[in-house]
Amino acid sequence: MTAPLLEVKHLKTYFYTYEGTVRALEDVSFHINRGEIFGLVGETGCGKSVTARSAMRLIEAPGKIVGGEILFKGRDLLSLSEDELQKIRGNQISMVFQDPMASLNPLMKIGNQVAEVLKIHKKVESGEKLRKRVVEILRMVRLPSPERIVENYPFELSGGMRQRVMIAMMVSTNPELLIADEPTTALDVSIQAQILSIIKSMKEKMDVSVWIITHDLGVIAETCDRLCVMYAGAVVECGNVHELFQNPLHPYTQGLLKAIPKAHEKAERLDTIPGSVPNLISPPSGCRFHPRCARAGRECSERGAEKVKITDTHFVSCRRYTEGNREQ
Amino acid sequence: MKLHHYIIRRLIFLIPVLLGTVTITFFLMYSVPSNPARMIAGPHATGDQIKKITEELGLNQPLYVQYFKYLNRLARGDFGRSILTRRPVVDDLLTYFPATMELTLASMVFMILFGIFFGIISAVKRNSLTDHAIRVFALSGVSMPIYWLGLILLFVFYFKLGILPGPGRIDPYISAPAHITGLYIIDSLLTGNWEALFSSVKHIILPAVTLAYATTGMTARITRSSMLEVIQSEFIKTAKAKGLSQRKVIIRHALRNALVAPVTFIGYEFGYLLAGAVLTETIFGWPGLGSYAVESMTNVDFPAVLGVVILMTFIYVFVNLAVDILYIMIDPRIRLGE
Amino acid sequence: MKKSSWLDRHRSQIKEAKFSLFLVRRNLLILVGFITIGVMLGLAVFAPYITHYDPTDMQFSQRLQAPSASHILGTDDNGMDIFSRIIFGIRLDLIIAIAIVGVVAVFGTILGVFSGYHGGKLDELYMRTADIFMAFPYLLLAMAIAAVLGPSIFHSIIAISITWWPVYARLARGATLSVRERDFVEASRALGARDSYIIFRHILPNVIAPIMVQATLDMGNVILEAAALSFIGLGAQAPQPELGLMISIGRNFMRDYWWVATFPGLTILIMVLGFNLMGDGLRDLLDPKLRRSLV
Repeated sequence: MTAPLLEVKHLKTYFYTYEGTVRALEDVSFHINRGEIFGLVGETGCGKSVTARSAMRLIEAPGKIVGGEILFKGRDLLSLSEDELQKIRGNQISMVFQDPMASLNPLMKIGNQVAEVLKIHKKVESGEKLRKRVVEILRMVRLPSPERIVENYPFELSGGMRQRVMIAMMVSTNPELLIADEPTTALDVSIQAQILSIIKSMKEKMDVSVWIITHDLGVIAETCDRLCVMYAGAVVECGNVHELFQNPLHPYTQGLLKAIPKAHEKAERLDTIPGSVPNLISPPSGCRFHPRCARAGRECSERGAEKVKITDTHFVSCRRYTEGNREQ
Repeated sequence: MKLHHYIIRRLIFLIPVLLGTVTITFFLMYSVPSNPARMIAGPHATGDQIKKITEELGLNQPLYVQYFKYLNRLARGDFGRSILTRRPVVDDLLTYFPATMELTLASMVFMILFGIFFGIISAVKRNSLTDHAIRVFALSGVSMPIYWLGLILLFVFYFKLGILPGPGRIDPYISAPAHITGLYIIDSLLTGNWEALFSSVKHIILPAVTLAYATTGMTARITRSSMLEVIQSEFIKTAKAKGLSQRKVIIRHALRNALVAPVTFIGYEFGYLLAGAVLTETIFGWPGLGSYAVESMTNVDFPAVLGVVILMTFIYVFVNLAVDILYIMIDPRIRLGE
Repeated sequence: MKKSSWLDRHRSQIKEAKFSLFLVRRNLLILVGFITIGVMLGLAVFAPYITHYDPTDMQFSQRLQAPSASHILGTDDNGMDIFSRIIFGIRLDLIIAIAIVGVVAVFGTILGVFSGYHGGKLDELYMRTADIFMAFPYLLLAMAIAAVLGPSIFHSIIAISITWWPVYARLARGATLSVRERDFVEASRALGARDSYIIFRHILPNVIAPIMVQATLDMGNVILEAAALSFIGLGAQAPQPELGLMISIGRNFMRDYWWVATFPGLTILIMVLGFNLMGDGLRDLLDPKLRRSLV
């Protein structure tokens, strides 16, 4: 088996604020293989975006990465200098952000913003050649009349078009890993499908591995090969899509899947997970999910979760996991 | 809406403002004193002299009649005659106008260059020693009396060190350059008069620095806060994610967006400069509108006071309008939008 | 069930207050501002007890003496002790500032709140008028009015007040408008609250904060303007101990007797700096967004 493209090992990221230290990421570990679409799912505030930004070393004060390793093609990103990182960002690892309106420079033409990445990393000279490449890339993300769009400003485009521009911009340098942080959350449902389809086609055409971050299980089901579930700054379960959806083992994962309203079933109440997300300044001891877990026991709060290997691809961090939908 | 529509609309709205300022100034001045003629004549005037002045200046007519007569003459460019100099106020104003223009422009150049520069550095090096130093300097600028600063600078650089010249626009032994624009520096450049150029530049340094000190500080503060806000934006994160170095991020992305705020503030600062000119010109013996204003006011020279206040206000209003239009032209969101 | 105590009910407000104190302690500059103003106030109030010289007592035999043991800051061209004149000058300028800012802030705020709350044609009229007053460059109109009324401190107070009120009217109106549109105000009205209740309970608290910040900053600005008017000759008249006037007098003796003009100006600088630091700090403290970012 080939080495994974990205390996995150025991990542710890804290934020030092007036109210206390927010332990946003406490021992996060997972890996992403080449040629796959990997999903990181969890509710708002669980630390998925922080993980992605930690991987790009884009964490700023008052946040700090305090421990762990992030191996990209074998090199630990946390040990690289700023200069070396700048060669990787936008070039080998690219990131698409959630809100394309806020993420594009409002006073700069689209063409210039896309061209910038090419100028820096691929050393393409300004002029006709550059312009043609930009138009080419915009066409690849299925933007209509790319020659005109090049002259437009972000506010003149629709949300879906802007997101496509972001994707185009970030894959233009042929990176090996594309991180998409909630790429469809800010968009209409009808546009979401288009964007996801574009991401998938980019993966095929440009041989890019994709890391999607989302809270929407539907997005995961549709696009991802493998996924990890996060809760309150820790990874609770990982596996490929089929395994996880058919046989979720962690109580949280099970709760998430049960909470999805099913159109074909008659029900009067929606299933929910009781309780609410913990305060990360003073998180629960041991396994962070234990206060809300129906199956939690003494060892869960005292000794924390234990990582268990179910199959070569399926891992779960739980002492009391049970098989899928069948209660023990 | 189209740019020219906007300009026309603004110009139309300008009229009530201009009219309003003239009206307020006129009424405040002429209705306040119990007997303007007495004030003009002075404390030792006789009853007859006062009567003569009253008739001469039409001060015995009802106020609103005087007002409309004034408006009438104003529309034709007639500001009346100065009591002190006996010349038409218009002539006085035209004589003193270029000096103030030159001083204000020189100050603006200084203020824009240094203000924006310091503001950027302050923001980029947030909370460092440099940042604190710049903020203290900026705060001191708006906290000190301009005329006092001028005095101190004169004292240090002229009296004690002797490196810069004293009051006046140009060395008294050098004649002014040929009058093309009235701005000595420009005129000497245009006529190749290097002696005059050198002298004028040396003479304008202290007054310009004095005048610009406060507004440079203001500009720095606005630039700083604007820059700080922009640096937190999402699109800056995108720029970093593209692999741009810190320097490139600042220069190519942050700067343009951050400069929008200071540019719009320049109009307001111009007003500050105009007022400051009044105080600065007095200290440096600078023969501009400011000195003229002070002189006319201390002598209660009604037509002159009215004239100079109206002129300076109109200049201020138009500069603000120009800045607003400039702002619209810079920001494509407004220019192309809707 | 135990009835909640006062402490319980006001827990979040107490928390916010504690946070405010913490911020003040952390932010040195605000503290410096507070202390400076405190010292100034102390000097102003206890002026007669601090110095034994009469600030307007002319002793021609002592004129233009450099700072020494008997005259800490020297004497001016009339032999008056500069230190005493400065102390009394602080008192004078503070009184002037309080008079102007007090009147203008109250009057302007009332006008602005009512104008903004009721809206309509009257609101348009008031605001257009305010706009016209604000079209004048700073200082100019006040100079003209003071000139025409006749130079004196009282007249300069009137002149400055006339030009200053629009600032508060505008500010108060803006704050009023932003609150007026909020849902909770409409809910209040739907529940039958009277206008005066809404204004006092909802609008005013939101208006007070920016007005307070502006008033603090304006204390400094007004002192500068009043001193400027006196400097030109349109305000205080000799031998009143007004700081701007002292600079004007000292100007003629600058070359050889620099202390006469320097110390009064330095005093103005320190006073205004104090108010600016306080005002800035207040603004940071009260703006909810900025509060969080200060850590």
